[in-house]
Amino acid sequence: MGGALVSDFTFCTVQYDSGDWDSAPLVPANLIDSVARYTSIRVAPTGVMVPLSSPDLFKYPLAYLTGHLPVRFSDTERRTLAEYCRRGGLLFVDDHNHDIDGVFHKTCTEELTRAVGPLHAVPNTHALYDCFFKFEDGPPATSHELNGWGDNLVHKQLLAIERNGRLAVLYSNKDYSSEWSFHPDNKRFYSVDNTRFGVNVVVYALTR
Amino acid sequence: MERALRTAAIGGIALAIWQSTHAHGPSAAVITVAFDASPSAVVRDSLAAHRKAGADVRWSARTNQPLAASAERRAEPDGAVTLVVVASSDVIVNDGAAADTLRRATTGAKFEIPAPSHDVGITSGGMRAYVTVPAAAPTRSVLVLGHASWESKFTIAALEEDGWHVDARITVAPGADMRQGAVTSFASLDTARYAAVVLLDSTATLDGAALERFVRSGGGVVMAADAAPARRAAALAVGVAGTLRRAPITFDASQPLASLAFRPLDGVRADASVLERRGAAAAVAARRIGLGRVLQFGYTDLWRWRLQGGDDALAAHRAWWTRAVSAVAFQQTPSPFSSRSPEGAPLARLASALGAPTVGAAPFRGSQPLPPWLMPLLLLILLGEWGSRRLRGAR
Repeated sequence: MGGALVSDFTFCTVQYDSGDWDSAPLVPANLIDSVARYTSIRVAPTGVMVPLSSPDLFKYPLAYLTGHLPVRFSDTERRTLAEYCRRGGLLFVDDHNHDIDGVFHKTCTEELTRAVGPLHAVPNTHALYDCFFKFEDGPPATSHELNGWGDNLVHKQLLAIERNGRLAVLYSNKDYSSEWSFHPDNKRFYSVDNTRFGVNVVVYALTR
Repeated sequence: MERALRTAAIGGIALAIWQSTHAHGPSAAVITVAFDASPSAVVRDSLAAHRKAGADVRWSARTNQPLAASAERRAEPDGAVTLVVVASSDVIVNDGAAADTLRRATTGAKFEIPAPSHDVGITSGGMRAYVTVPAAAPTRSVLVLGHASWESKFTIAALEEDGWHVDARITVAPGADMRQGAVTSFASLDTARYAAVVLLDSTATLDGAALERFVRSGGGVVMAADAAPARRAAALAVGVAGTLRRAPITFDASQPLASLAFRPLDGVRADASVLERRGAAAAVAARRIGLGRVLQFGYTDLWRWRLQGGDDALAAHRAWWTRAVSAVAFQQTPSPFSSRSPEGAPLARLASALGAPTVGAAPFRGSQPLPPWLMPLLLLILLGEWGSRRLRGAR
């Protein structure tokens, strides 16, 4: 990719060797639609999928990773992720199981800790929650949490790893991957667009 | 009157100090001194005391080699100092660190000294001088203006990671800005608060009149090529951003700036200086406006350097932004009363204390005068030798 195209925000989904990295295929288009709908951010109309072990990952300073299955990074994936975070990249990880006893959560948090560092809770006063839309109570609950699926918990906080005072890894157990997995045209059926928090993640990544 | 000053006892700096053998009255004496190195304050003050007591102090310096130095504190958060030294022989700089730092250079040299806390000592050819480092002025903030983009994010990050305090106003949507820091309106845009403004693109919300007023009063502006078309910034622009030259397909980490998309700066103003070129095109240029300066650069997507560059890319990207901002940042003039160096210019201080050096002063010949009987003895021996040769021929 060359020229002016790299200036645009391009939604990047991370492929990893283990697990089901492509379990939420509608999320990218939905978030791209929301970013274009609410902001003046120049956004590429289609997303990309980039292997975690590829140097191409460094073209996309915000990357999205999800799945249901156990996660085991290869050495190359681990090294690439560590370097990506050191240079200022932000990896947004969402547990598609929304289950703190689930295999994705257990194995992915282990891998993230091993590659980048320990996760800690993000305070609900963080800039992430008011950089565009306001979320006074922290991360918005998903319908899957409220319906009692998964671990039957409403997770009050997200987890994160920081580098130089900025989020390097943002980790969610809230299953936004299910919540945002619908065709963008169906937004009109919602009284409140539930992808607004996704817009905040993008705005935070582009401005902080 | 006979008095002897032993140089070894006062530091060994003066090669010889001796008192002449002839007195001019009961309390007057002539003290003649030849220095082969800059004297210490103790030596200088003791001679000045003799002078005030009535002695006729005459001095000369064999090693009055030219030695000039200046120290300028850069407008950077870490308070680094640029030291420029001109000398006729090797230079040793002691920057006052716990362990002395020795840096050698022949004739002229420029040193970068990270945040010295004391005066810097310079020794060259026996001369030792000190240069007072200007006190670090309080660092002003940098204001970054642009739209939500990777360039905005990583410009702010690079400056903050290098120690700058950054305020920002980043446009996210019409009527919606991400604001960082105390920036509320352009009425607060003055050099009391900000050292420089970084304009990243033409969407930056700005008041052109306030920005020009800021620059004319000493503030700095760093302007990306993409910001030049902004109508309100055009008056400050150094040149006109040319047609975009797209980046190569692959990023070459060994040539990071050459791997970026680029807008050449065309029509650089006559009062501007081109600081960096890419091929024949101007890549970075700067001009002065009033008391302030404007720097414009043609590179786009500098953030790719940080993300896709080599192992040192993170530090190099930070350093590039710090250089760009510090090149134009407002600098408070140091107070004329901030000089703390007691030994700034040793020869000048010596002349001030003892008067001008004596022209044709007696050269150094030793610490004791020759005994009066030595010359007749030598003549007698010479006469004997001559007579011996004459008598040998008479046989």
